[in-house]
Amino acid sequence: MKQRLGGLGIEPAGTSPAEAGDIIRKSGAVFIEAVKAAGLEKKK
Amino acid sequence: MTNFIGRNLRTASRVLSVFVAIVVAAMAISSASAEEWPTRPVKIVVPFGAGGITDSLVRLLADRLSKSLHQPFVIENRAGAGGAIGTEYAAHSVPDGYTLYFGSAAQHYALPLMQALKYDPQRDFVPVSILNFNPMMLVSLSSFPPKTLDEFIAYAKARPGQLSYSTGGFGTATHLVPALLAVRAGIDAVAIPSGSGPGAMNDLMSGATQFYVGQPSDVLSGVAGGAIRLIATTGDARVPRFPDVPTLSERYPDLVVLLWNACFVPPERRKPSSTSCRRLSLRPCMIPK
Repeated sequence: MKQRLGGLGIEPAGTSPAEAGDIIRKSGAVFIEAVKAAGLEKKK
Repeated sequence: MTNFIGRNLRTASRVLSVFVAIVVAAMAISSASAEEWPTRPVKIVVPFGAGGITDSLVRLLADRLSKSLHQPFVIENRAGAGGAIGTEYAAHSVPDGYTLYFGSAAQHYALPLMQALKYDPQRDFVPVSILNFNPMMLVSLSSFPPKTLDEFIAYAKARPGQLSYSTGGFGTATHLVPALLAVRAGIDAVAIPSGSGPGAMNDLMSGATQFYVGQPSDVLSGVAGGAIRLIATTGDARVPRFPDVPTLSERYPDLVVLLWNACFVPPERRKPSSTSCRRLSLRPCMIPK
């Protein structure tokens, strides 16, 4: 189930809960780095 | 943008059939002693306003779920604070399997780092399924001198502090991703916030900013019309429709950003006898090939 929406890079996922959890965990690093890059980390 | 959304919603409609099967499989209880699900209306919390691409996709999904499961699936839009308001609301809903929530990486990773919240995404949500992935798109006006990613980087590096980029708002992906690109590339550019993706596109189109990293739904009508140049995408592979447009990761190997929309439920810990949220990870899902 990996067809792409109109060739636009919008990819339907339809993951199982375990797959979703794995993908969500792995996607975190770049967003964490991006928040730091933008200087938006909240003060501890 | 309307045409883009309409075209893709039609295509997405086929995909949603699969997603319905996954949600049903994930939420259903396999043991004979377990109760049926759903036996009453199910609420779907969307932490954004009505009418956007996420809301539109979820509305299609809700319609399919309602027809498949013979119970109403009712969308509740709880917009505000970058999605924090709706996410907090969902996190504190009764964890009985009758509240679904759709969120993205912004609510899951970015917001908790930026502000004090009344939810913990790791503690308060269990993933059910990811609905879709999509890359973001780095665009400029077609009249902007750089035509390629390499030219863009060189042009921007030669003009520290002189270029600005549109964002849909501080702390959104449209702000965070170009900020990360700027750090990686050694670019000094200024973020100009707008209230939305379309607002950010207006800033770009008016010449108030020089580039924008946005959602495909925001930028592609301008690309198709020729006013906007697509410089790069942020996924792990080139977008098939634009085979000549590179990804950022071709120049910065680990700079891959794929946005996702996912369905979550609150975990069952506060009500152990309720329906099967805790069993979600144990239930194999049906994904038609």
